[in-house]
Amino acid sequence: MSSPTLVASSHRLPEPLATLQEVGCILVRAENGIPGFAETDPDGETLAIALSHAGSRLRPVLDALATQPAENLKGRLEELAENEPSMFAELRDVLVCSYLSTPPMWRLLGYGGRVPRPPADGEAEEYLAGGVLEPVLARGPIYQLLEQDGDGFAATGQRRPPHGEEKSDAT
Amino acid sequence: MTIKRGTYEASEWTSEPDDRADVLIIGSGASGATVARHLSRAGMHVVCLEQGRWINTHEFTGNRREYELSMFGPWSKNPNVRGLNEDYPCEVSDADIVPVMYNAVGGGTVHYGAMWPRFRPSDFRLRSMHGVADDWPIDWHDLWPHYNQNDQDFGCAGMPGDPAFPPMATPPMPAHPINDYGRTFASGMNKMGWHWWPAPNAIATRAINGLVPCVRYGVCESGCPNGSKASVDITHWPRALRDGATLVTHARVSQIMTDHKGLATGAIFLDADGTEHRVRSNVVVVAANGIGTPRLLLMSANSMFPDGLANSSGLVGRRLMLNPTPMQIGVYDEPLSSWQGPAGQNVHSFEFYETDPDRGHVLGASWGTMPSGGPFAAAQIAAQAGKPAHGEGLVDAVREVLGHSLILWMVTGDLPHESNYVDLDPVLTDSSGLPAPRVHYRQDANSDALIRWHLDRGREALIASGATSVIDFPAMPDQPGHLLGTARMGDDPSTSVVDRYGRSHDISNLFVIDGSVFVTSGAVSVTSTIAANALRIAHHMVSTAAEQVVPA
Repeated sequence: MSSPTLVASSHRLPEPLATLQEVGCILVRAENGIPGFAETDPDGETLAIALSHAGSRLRPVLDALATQPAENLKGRLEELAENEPSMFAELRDVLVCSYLSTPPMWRLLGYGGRVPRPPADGEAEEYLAGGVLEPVLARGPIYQLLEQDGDGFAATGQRRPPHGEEKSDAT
Repeated sequence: MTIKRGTYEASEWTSEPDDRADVLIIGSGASGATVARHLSRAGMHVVCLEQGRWINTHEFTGNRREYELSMFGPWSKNPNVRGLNEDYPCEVSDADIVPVMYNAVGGGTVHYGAMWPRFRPSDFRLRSMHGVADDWPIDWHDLWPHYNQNDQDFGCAGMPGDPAFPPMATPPMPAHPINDYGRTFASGMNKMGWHWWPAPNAIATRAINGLVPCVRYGVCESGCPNGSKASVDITHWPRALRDGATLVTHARVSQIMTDHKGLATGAIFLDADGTEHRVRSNVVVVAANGIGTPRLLLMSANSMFPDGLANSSGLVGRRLMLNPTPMQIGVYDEPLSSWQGPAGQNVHSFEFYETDPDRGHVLGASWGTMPSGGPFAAAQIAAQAGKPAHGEGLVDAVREVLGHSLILWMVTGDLPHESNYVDLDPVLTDSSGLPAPRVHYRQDANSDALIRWHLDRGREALIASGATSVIDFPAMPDQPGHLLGTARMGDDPSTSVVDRYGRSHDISNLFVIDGSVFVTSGAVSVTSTIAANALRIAHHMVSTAAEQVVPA
């Protein structure tokens, strides 16, 4: 597990955001020009959103972490990953999601975000241009029709074999 | 009559002892709304009890930065994660698949993907064709006109002429663009010589039924913030309410009442404060999904029906089918803007839908491509491939997947087993103290083999389309929420719960109209078939109303 990066915020966040941010810094540190956890969310704005959605799920793990001295957070986290992997995974996923939901990370990743992208006129047709559906249409129907015989229903429609293949999977 | 028309909270409910609705519907999702709309238009007074609330489109998070974070809490598809008062928990320690559902006006349609395929003719005849499961008492001809009508009523965007299906009416809207990733996948399918087609979705490509055209946020399964997805709170309930229906929210039904003749007389329900109310009706219709419906029938046991209502066959809750759904991620070098919706499906395939004895298993699967989501979804996908889930390498792993990948998901057929069932948990309760459903579900060996086979074929298709790597998810993290089979229909009362019209064999004015009545699961998204069957039943209820036996 990586060493913690110094928290970049100018003031300590209120609990439990401060603890979560410290954990985030342990999980995602700055490297190779990629910002660390606290650099992307110094004021804990995104973290607060995360907490508002996932607070009830994080409560057990926060309680568990709170029993340890702050300076031992990294050790406790390693212990958690070893002994209670599902609880650790829950915490990790929320914090990684928080990190990846920040504007600096979206910019870095080239992710345009959740914005409307209505199709242009003719866009649907454009994607089907160049005869891309022709092989599908050339094969014809592939469903099975059934007809009732004396004992029940039986398949009558022979699925057409693809591309000259002789075998039919009609039953 | 003092029962108010319109929609209001259960705490505002008032009625006199002599008040009686024509029809009580329990559950406001796809099937309940379909029947409510049709019966209301026919002049019947419908009262619907819904344990959830109205959701405002603007509450959905899909157009905000918090979108992926919101999945950890109240917007999760899993009621056990949401933990809202209007949800009931599901005990799932004996279940290989965790069921998903939503409790609100619109039910599961609030959170479904609105994929809109139909069952195929063979789905109704598995026993005759392959010697497995059972035949339905109806066939595809019985549903086809109702599928066509529902394409209009919900709002289906699709491209006519799909050779995977018998001819059908032209959908009311053109299909969505298949996007770069759909086109990429299609090219691979053409190389393999396999079927594909632009997929139908109940997602608007132009204004219809109160819906506005999709702008491709790609978040359909978590509620559309644009109001483009055909959830029945938008498409059906406003019309039913205009025609005089009553829709009561935060109304949790604790029991369906019966009289000394064994007829259903209405229901007891609790409002959000726990205050008990009663509604009386001539007919009771249960539309609470394949888990909620058997739960309610079992909770309604009384001295005349000690094993639960409609349960003389012992099959209430049995034969649960969930359509195990694997998925694969194809990762590509080129950018595909693969966060772009709808989601929904772009392209679907029925190449391997039918049973082929040479494969060593029965049943098949439908395939569909979907967008692969935002940055956190990319991180989870990468982690499945063994890339770092945190720490060094995380961001590089996300970059490889984000916008460069597609989801190929496979809805597999599921055999009905009586050993897969829903009953009442003896300990766990909802927020009103009512027993939670306990889900017992084991994925069978046929499904295991089927999934392995399809993942192998899917890999071939993805590689043919240019994928540089393929990541398998033998079980999709969020299963599609197909809750089927737990009150099956049939002609024989000893082997089925309801008849071909959803009417209980035991209680002639009690109907079940949701996915519980399915005899087999099909291997497609099921909402269009649930709604088509509900519409068929509604037509029958109207045409036979004069002969309907009702309580004194």
